[in-house]
Amino acid sequence: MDRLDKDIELMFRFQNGEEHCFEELVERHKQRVFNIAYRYAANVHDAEEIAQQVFINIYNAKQKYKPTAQFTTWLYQICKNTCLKSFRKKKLKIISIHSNTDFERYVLSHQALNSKAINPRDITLNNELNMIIKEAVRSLPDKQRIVLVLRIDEDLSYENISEVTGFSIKAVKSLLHRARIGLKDKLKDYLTK
Amino acid sequence: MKCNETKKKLISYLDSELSKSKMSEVEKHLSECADCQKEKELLEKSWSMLNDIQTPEVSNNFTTNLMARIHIKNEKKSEFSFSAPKFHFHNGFKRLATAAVAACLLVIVYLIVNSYLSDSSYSIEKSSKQKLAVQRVKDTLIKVTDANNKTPVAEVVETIITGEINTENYNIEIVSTNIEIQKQNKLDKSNKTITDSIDKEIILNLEIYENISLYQNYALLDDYDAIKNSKEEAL
Repeated sequence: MDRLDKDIELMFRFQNGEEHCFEELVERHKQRVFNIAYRYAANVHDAEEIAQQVFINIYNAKQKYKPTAQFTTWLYQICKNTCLKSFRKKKLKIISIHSNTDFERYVLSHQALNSKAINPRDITLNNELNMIIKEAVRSLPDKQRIVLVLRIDEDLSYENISEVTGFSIKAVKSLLHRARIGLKDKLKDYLTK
Repeated sequence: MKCNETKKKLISYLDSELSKSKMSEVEKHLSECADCQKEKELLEKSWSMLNDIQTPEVSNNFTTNLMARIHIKNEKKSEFSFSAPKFHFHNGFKRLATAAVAACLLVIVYLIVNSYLSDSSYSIEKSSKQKLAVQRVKDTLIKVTDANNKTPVAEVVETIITGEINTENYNIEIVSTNIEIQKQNKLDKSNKTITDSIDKEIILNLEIYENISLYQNYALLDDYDAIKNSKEEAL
């Protein structure tokens, strides 16, 4: 049974009271959800918190699921909404970037102040490049960010991204285009070192 | 093809989404223009860098922790003797029932807060001593007001709220995440100024209740001071 049918079957059984099916769904998709959350979160701990919240929201909304689309489309929608809500709640500072050098300095100084990097997984990944790229993605406007994350992390097609986000395919392409240019501009100084 | 036009098409070119003729035009321009060639390389590199980001593995006990969180919440809901409807409701009857529960919550919270305020061992600054009322405004917002003149004292924004009442002990249990306290700074001139002590007490109350619920301990009125003191020490 391919992944698509398996997910739908598990959801049906979960809706009918088989909670172990929900656990199996979590196991199947937890890394995927975590990867997306990690693009939004400042660190591993926050990313796991967001990811857990995604699944809690799925658990609570199980009766709302209708198999008119792939389970992952619904999963991504909940993931997107949860990530965005959490991201906004954390009130990421919007700073004035006068140059890409300013941006790089901001990121590196922010990295030093990020005292939540106590998880060993954070420390090993907390290298300069990772942090710069991570912050570049986080600094994108919301719509550009979600489209970029779905494209780069989940390799979704324009059509799938359109389905998840509700944007038209044309809008998805345009947002992705602008996101890539935005990223390039943010990383230019680092790339030309 | 000029530089402006070429740069606009670079991403489509990199994704091979252009027609053959356009692809050729872009390639021809790139072979002649160092600036556009550099632009293309920057776009390629920045895109490939995204793939180079190391994403950590999710923790081994992710699912275990998740199910524990869910089960804790479900156990609390099943212990609730009064059948309160869920806060995510879908029809008129549930809304009415929820409104009735909210009204009961309001009364009981008022009683509890009032009893705290009158307890000499738990005092607030005299100048800021007010009767407080907690009112659910909508699913994710609880407004704490001065019960006397309805002055907004603070707004508590919560991601998930589950309100339960232990009618035997008259305790409020709030399980919430991402509590964010926002001060109502812009008040009418006739309203009282928000005092820091009240805001802190509200934060303290909610934090204590949150911790209690996580550890499945129900705070009795008598234990409140001990918990409050231990929390203050932790802070």
